[in-house]
Amino acid sequence: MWNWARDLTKSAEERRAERITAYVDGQMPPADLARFEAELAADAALRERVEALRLLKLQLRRLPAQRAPRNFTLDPARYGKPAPAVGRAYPALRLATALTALLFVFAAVFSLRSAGNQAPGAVALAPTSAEVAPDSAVTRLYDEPAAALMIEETVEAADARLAPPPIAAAVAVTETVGVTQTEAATLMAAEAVTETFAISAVASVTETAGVTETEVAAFVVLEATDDAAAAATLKDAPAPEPAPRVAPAVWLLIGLGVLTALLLAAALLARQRGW
Amino acid sequence: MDETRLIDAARRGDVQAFNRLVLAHQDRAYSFAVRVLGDPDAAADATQKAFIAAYNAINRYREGNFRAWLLRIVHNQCYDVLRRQQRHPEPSIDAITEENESPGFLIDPEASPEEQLEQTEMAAAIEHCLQALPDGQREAVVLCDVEGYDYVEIAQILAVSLGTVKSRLNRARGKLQECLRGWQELLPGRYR
Repeated sequence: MWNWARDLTKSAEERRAERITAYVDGQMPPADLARFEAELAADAALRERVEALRLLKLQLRRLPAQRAPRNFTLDPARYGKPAPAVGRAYPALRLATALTALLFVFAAVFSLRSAGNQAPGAVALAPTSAEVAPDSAVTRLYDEPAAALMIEETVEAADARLAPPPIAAAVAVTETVGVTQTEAATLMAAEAVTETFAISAVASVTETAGVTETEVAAFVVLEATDDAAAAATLKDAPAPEPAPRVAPAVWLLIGLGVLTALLLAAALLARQRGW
Repeated sequence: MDETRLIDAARRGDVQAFNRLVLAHQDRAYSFAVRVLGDPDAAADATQKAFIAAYNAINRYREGNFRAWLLRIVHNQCYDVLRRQQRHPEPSIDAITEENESPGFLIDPEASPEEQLEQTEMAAAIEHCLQALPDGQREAVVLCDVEGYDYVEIAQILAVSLGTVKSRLNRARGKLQECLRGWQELLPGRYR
């Protein structure tokens, strides 16, 4: 198939030597034969090479015949019926198994990379741990002074950048006019939402401090609710919804895994039965 | 011998029918193996394993050249041995040369004592040079020049393209000529 490509890389001497070989072996195409014989008649060096090659072939052909030192027959008592031929189902199943397994690996890698690249997704993946043990998470963060400091700075910066002035103003207004706790909680929840956008920035800080993203998420939520109204936010606000992309990806992975296992079993069975 | 009929019988589990095929092809298979491996004992083992493998796989043989199919299995067995030897190398060429210088291994019993000596020396030189070739080139030159197969059969046995067969043969012969020039002083006059 790739002979033409190999021919391109051959030197002129290699091509010449292969023509001599083909001629001596009687394998030269008839179209080339007349031209080569004309060259042979005109070129003494070429004739010499052809003769040398013929002599070598003769010497090789004269090597003594090698007879088998014993019979290699099989014992009928030991060998039963030969294995059945492998049918056409087996190669197809083998190929399908390999492709499905490959797809499974790609899907798994893609899902992991997507989850790793999206910090909000990480929050959504583990909201319960933040709810179950917020105190311990916050305590751990405060136990890491450098991390706590960096996180506070990042959250403040995110506040300045992301929290729109109307919300901050609204908070200030509620404090002055003495609105109900529920109304304040609603406003603070809105502020907390803006802070969640800073999680990706916080995540990079926590990588150096050795804190998990879940703990950071818990911290950010609690940090946004320092006052009593914020506490109400935690109590009243609904639990964050899981990221919508996660569930289909997991189902896809499970499906591909099951399909791979089934195809593998079928391929093994086909090989065993000779289908 | 009706080869097709014997193959069909072997497919149905008739070991005796297969044994008739073995007897018909064993010299050719062993001869190829011994020249590829350069070791009679290893060649005998490889040949035996090849016939066992051929029997077990006979239902996978399709219409075509049975001899080429069989030698392809011998070739595979020889490569297994060569791979094992590469993992656990031994000074095989010296051992082979000594083995090849043994008259019982090489000479034609019908030749005169003087001719036997000449044949032995020449054959020892060629065997030595054959063993110095890379495995693929040695197989190609043994199949073509020693065993007399054509290019198409060699390509089937070695599972390579015709272009590769030509290329290997060309390189192998070039190296053999060069190697034998080094032995010329040791060779009888008529071989120079």
